[in-house]
Amino acid sequence: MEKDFNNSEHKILDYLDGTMSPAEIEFFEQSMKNAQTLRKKVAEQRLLESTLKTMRLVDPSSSFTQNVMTRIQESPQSFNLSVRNGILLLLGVMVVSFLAVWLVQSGVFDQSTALNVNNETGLISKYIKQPLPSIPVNGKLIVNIIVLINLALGFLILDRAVLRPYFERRMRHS
Amino acid sequence: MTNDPDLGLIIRILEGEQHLYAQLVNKHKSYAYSLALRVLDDKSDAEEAAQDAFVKAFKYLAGFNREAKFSTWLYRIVFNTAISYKRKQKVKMQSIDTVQVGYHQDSMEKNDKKRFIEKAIGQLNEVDRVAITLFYLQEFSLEEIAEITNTPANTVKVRVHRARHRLAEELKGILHLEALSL
Repeated sequence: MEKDFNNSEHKILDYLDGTMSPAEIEFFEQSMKNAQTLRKKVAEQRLLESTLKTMRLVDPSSSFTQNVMTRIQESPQSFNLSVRNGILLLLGVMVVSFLAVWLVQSGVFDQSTALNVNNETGLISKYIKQPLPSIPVNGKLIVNIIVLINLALGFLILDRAVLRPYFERRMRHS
Repeated sequence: MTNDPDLGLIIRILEGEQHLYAQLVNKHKSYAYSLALRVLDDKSDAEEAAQDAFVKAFKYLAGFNREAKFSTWLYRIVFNTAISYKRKQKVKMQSIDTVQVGYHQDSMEKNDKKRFIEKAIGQLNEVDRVAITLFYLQEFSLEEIAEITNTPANTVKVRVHRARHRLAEELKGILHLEALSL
């Protein structure tokens, strides 16, 4: 059957769908006049099309909508911020970012560059004979990463909670 | 900007009028269910998958691109959900007669023809079945079918044409007499 499906089959369907150019239609109709097989095929396909178009939708159960709404109420909503809460959250994120930047600028994180686990209480040295290696920590880098994450979060909140609702409202009123 | 009639409702739902989603469900449930049924061939699985798709659509409604058509977006979710249910579904042979197709018992002859069409459609693979259903039931364009099934438009065209040709071959026996009388 696959082999039978050739260009002429596509042409029949294009003709029935009305996707041919006027010149193609004229040529196709001329071909139909001269070929009985083609005429028969077109008639068969046309009849099939009319039968297929009578296919009906199937209705689900009567409780379908109710079930969907119950499931929605039971599941937590993903991300639904009010504009007021969004702005407050945005302000919070900005304050944290500015504080972090200010602390980095003022050199608070310049000193603490390593975590020394050989503490001064003497407890560790009492039980562990070998000195433990110190872990280098770049405080400046960590705070800079936090600032970047805050900026990304800020843009996300700005988009979801402020800009999108604003443009939606404007679009609705226009 | 599209003139999608569902857009106004969607905006109101996103602004907090959650109960309005029931209107969207009512509007699209038959089509979503029919689509899921085409893929799954099982009424209870199709109902479950269609409900699941509506819940997913609600969850991701905020991310819906308003430039697109809501029905196309929704049916894509329905199609993907049904396909994932199909993967989970145990292989079971089901008689074509048990598939509910919603016919009206107009006449014996008409009913036989429709039954035969259903049988012929049932012999297609699920992607072709869905393509044929989308093409005839809601008369989606080939581009929209391509978007729903995540398939290139040219492939969809070939699929739909091939499926229509196959159906014609299957139905030749019934159609032959009627075609002669045209």
